[in-house]
Amino acid sequence: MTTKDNEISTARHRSERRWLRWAGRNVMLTVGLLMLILLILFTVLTPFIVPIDAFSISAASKLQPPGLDHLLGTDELGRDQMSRLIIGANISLRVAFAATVLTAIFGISLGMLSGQYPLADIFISQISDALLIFPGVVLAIMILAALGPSEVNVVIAVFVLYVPRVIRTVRAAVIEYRGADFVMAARSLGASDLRILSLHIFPRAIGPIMVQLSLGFSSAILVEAGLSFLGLGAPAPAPTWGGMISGARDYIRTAPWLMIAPGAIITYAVISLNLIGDGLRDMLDPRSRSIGQ
Amino acid sequence: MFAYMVRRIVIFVPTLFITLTLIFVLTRMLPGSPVASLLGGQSVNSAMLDRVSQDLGLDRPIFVQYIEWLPKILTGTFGESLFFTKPVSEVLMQRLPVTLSLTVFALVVTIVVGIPLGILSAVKRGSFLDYLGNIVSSIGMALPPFWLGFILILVFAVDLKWLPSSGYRPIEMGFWPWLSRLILPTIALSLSQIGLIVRMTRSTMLEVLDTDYVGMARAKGMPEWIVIMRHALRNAMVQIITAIGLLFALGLGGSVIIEQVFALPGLGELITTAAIRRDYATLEAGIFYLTLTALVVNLLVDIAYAYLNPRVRLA
Amino acid sequence: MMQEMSVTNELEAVLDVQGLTIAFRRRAGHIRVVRSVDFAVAHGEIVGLVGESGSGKSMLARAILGTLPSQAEALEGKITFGRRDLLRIPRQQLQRLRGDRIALVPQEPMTSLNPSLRVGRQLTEVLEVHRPEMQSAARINRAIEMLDLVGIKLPRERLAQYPHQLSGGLRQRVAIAMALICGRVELLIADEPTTALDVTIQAQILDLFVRLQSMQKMSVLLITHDLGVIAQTVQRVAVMYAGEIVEMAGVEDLFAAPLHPYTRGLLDSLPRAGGAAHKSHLPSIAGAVPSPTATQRGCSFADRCLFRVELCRQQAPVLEKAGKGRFVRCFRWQELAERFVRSDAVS
Repeated sequence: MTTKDNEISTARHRSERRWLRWAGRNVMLTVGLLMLILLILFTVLTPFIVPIDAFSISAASKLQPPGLDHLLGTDELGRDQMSRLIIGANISLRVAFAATVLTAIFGISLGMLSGQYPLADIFISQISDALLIFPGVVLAIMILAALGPSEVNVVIAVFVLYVPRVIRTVRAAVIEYRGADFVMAARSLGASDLRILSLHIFPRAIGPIMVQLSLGFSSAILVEAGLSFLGLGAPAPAPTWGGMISGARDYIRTAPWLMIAPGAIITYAVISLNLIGDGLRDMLDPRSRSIGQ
Repeated sequence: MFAYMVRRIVIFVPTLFITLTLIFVLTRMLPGSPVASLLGGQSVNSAMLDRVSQDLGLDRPIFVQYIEWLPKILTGTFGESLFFTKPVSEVLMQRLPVTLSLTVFALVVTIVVGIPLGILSAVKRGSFLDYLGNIVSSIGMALPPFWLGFILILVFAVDLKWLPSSGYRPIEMGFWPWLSRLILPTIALSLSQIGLIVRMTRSTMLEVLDTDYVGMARAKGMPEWIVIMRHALRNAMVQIITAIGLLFALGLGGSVIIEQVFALPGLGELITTAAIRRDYATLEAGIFYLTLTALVVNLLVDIAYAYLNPRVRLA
Repeated sequence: MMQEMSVTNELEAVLDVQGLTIAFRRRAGHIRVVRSVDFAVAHGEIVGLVGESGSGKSMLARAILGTLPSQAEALEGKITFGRRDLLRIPRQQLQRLRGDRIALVPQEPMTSLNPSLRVGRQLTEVLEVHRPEMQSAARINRAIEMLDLVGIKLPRERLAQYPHQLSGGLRQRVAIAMALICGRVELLIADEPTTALDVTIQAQILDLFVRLQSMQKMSVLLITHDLGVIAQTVQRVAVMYAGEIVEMAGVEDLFAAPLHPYTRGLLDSLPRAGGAAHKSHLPSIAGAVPSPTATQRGCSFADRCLFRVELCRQQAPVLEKAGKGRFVRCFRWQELAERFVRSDAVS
């Protein structure tokens, strides 16, 4: 090998090792990301490898335990569990993603407005705080009762549930940084409000916002599952994870595998996102770590 | 302190109004609320349609509806629901103790288990115990509570047959029948709360253990257990108390689903059933009661916080 | 070395630090923040420990008290106190000494008192632990006595108050009362006790220190970065730089004729009213304290020293005797000595 080849390969080696070292320092974040990527790949690629069919009904093959034909068994209508889980993953991830994106867009902009302009603050804060009064999913249930069960409405419900929290965080950050020296310096140089907010305050606040959004994403999955379980999510025959658990209720003694699989995969998805959220938090504030140094 | 209390109670009233308004807006003003969808799927004659319309006041302008609805809901005359023979307010009063039993029991378990674990994690930071606590709380927070409920039923009620799987017995019928039916739902409900409070307690304790006054306590030669209990914990508790209000609200929210799983006839179950059946009268009333409970608890927690924090108490 | 370190009177040292090295444990290795320090404090002496932030002075204090952070440890050395090596006695014993025979007056009065405990409680709990024979009423009386001693008016009323109801100066007085309450303090360590206070209060607190010291007949180790404080209060000074002691002398000698270039630089940078030196600008020492992670071969001050030579970069100087009770860590101290005699010495 020529010296140039040697140099290139050692350079590559070094950058690989750098990634490994970073991964070693941020264990939780890495594991969480890997888990999530695995899940996404599984749901996206499997249909190309193995034919999946979440909808065909077959009386003959109903309630079969996990086996070669159906890796996770079949439900009471003979539908393949594995396929249903994959479509369910699509639904859950889609809903959580859409809700989180909406929450991010509106939460950040409204939060910034609220923190910067006292007039806007009165309206936005009041409504936001009022929404936060409702315990847990009750707010989502109310909205779905009014709008009717559907995937889109679940996104709206989850969005309304979480946007007040993001607004609060962003607002708090804006208020905290509003009087900071660097803001006053920028203002004295003639920077507009928008410029200050986006170029100076936002980059500093992005950390806690990212943490909250990623934890919001995982909560969105749990909330969507809960709502689907109650029958307020995407209606049948859509194979939502929550809906599958609800359906498996009656067969808990005869076909326990129907109950176990959907819950396990929900837990897996939520753990992976929580790890990402916690990993991000640790990256920003190493003092709170318990593992690593 | 007194001034704080008065202020806090005074704020309670407008908050209540805003809540009521929101309930009204969200259940009636969103598209899809008209009576037709209310009774959607049920075959009814036009007379019944008219009667329901009149009852709910849906045939009149929105603002008028609001004015008329407000006193009704405040005085507890929620009208009658299509689905119950008794007036709604009676149904609510019957169900409230069930929900309270569950949520209060879950709160107690959460505090009793979670706070000591959090303290231990902080004091023994970086140890195996800390790591283990972190993992357990992470998993606890990730498990869907309703799924956990079913798994618990599967293991403890179906396989092991140690505990009944569902239903509720009021305490008047005996302590054990009451308690035994609450154990599994409480575990399902409180596990994620425990995860949350362990983390909160741990991080608050870590913050406090890092302060100058804790360092000073050690420099004075105070034994470690006094440093932790009298100096660190006392200050951490002030912050943790505020989390109790949050936890209770989470518990109420979670009870909504857990009650479905274990067939407990509480407010939560009422709300979810009403939501599915589009029984708006019951839905509004149920949500109002639930939220009112949360508001009252928050008020009490705020007052407790003011009492415990000498800076607020003596202001 | 120990006898040499003591001051002119032949009293036995209350505190004797020998070859102390304190380091932080990092993944890459140990980072030394205190490097092989020797010094002693005699009975009834007030010794000042001067240094910038990063000089290691606070770590030294914590090592003596036994309250080093968990990532730090004493790698080498001995700290002798009352015939015991504080680094090697069991934790229980050390805890019994703290607050009783060795006490600390901390830097930040605003944050070193527990905000949720009453002042009285924070005072009496020290007695509960160290003087268990005292009854409750006796403890309260003693607390009132102490508050009075440190110049707090209406002491009985103050007992029931919370820290946030007291000013910074008052809180610091409470801290001093807390330190002395057991009445058996042999060594009082004051870590920047006046840095966070207004100048006027500063003078009062320092005054209090001097008075209490002579009343209680205890030794005081006063740690500060402020030479003005040193001049007012102490009898002997040790100057620390980058984890080492670079000069030690009686306070008058130090101010009259500093031997180490660093000390000289510190004194030069003190603003003085009507100074004979008609300087238009205030001199400062160029450069910054070297990071503890940077391992150097030669003298740690060489980079910033105006008088460095080749040797300074290659070898590290040791602490040499430079007169009665004087020590310097510099190769060139003798030749520089003439230059440093100050015509306008502050007494």
